[in-house]
Amino acid sequence: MECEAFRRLLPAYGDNELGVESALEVERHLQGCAGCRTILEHQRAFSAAIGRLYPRAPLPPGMEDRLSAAWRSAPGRRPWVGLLALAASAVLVLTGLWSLVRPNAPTTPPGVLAATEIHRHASRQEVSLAIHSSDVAAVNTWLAAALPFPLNQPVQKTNDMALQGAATVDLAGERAGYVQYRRDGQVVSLFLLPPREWPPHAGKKMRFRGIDFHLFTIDGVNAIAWNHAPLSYVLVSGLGAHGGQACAACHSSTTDSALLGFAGDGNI
Amino acid sequence: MAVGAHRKAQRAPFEAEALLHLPALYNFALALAGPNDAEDLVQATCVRALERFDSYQPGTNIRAWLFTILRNEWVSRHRRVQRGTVLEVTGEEDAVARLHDEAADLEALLIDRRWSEEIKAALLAMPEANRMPVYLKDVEGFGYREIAEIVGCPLGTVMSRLARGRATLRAALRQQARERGLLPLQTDESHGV
Repeated sequence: MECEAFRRLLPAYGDNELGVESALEVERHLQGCAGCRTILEHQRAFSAAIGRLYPRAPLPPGMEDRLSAAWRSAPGRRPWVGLLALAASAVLVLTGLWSLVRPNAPTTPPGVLAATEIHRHASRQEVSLAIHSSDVAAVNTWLAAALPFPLNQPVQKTNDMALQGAATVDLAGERAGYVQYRRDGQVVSLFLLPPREWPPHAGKKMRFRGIDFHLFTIDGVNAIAWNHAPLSYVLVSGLGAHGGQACAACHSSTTDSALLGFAGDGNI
Repeated sequence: MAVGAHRKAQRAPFEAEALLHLPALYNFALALAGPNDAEDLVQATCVRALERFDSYQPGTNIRAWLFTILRNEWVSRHRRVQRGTVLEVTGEEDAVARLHDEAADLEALLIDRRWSEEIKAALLAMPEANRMPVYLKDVEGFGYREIAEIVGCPLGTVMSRLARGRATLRAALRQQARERGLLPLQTDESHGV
């Protein structure tokens, strides 16, 4: 009878969509119920298989060109709009150049840009891990020995993501730790940096449990940067909710209701 | 005036960003409308998005916004079909019953690309009301709230339709596995739980 009630919650739990109280109840039940654990594993495996195996069709040849043409001839678009667009582009270029030289400009910090670029390579399996391990302690030990700045067990045990291993990377000219996870078949990248102050107006800022998180979306990749002594972090993924679903790297589960409030709102 | 110029200046990057999501939009259109109408649906969606560009807030979730426009465009074209589809949805009790159909046998088989076409065919054969939450969650990775926004229904309805859809998909794939001799014919649907 008890299992019956919990099994109704398992799909939302497995999708990391359950509130914190319900999730904790489910976790307590799962600890003592092998049957429900098995169901949860199968649910997750099934969903992951669908996502991995569903065939994505390529765009028909010339579709982008036809779309651009449709945009150009869209109602309300006037011939002078092209000139305006050109002028706007010039303004954007100048604005971009100005933002590079203006002090305290609200641009994306170089470390975040570099992290998203490395993440893209990692997603194409172009980043070699120096240690391949799903063991949290082993990865923390390796990072402590490999990095020239103090760490405090930066890799946490997580139920929602599979730890792959770690490496060191050059992040915009400085050595940083790189920890790789997988979730739902996607690579999630966590970068560990010496402490620094992120520009106060960089990205969309969210304050959560006393920490300022800076959220960026760069060409479809979500990055979250924050400081938490003794390190600064950049978390990069293609996961949803502005990358908030990747927060499972530092939380035992993204079923935390407060975390859902952080990650689940598409209009942060 | 300054605001208008600002919006226009944002339009070029908006178009560039929208193009990034074109493959996902096209595949969503395929799942909704099929190959004959998919490109037309995407094109109408993108033109509509451009017309509504003023309502787009830079930095917000453009992907979910575009998917919502595409879905609305599809509904406005096929209201009659849509009503018919909704009628096919089975009851809540059925969903709960199927939720327990979690036999261990199928997941072990779903490991290679030989299943890709079967998965697609089984998903596309499902009623749209159940198909869309499964597609948007498991294929596109949207959260429940985003799915509710895209398909235009309450969160609870998304959850029940997702459960129903996954159970239906699982049953269809298990049937395929039996027909291919990968699972025993006498496998009991309820043996897992």
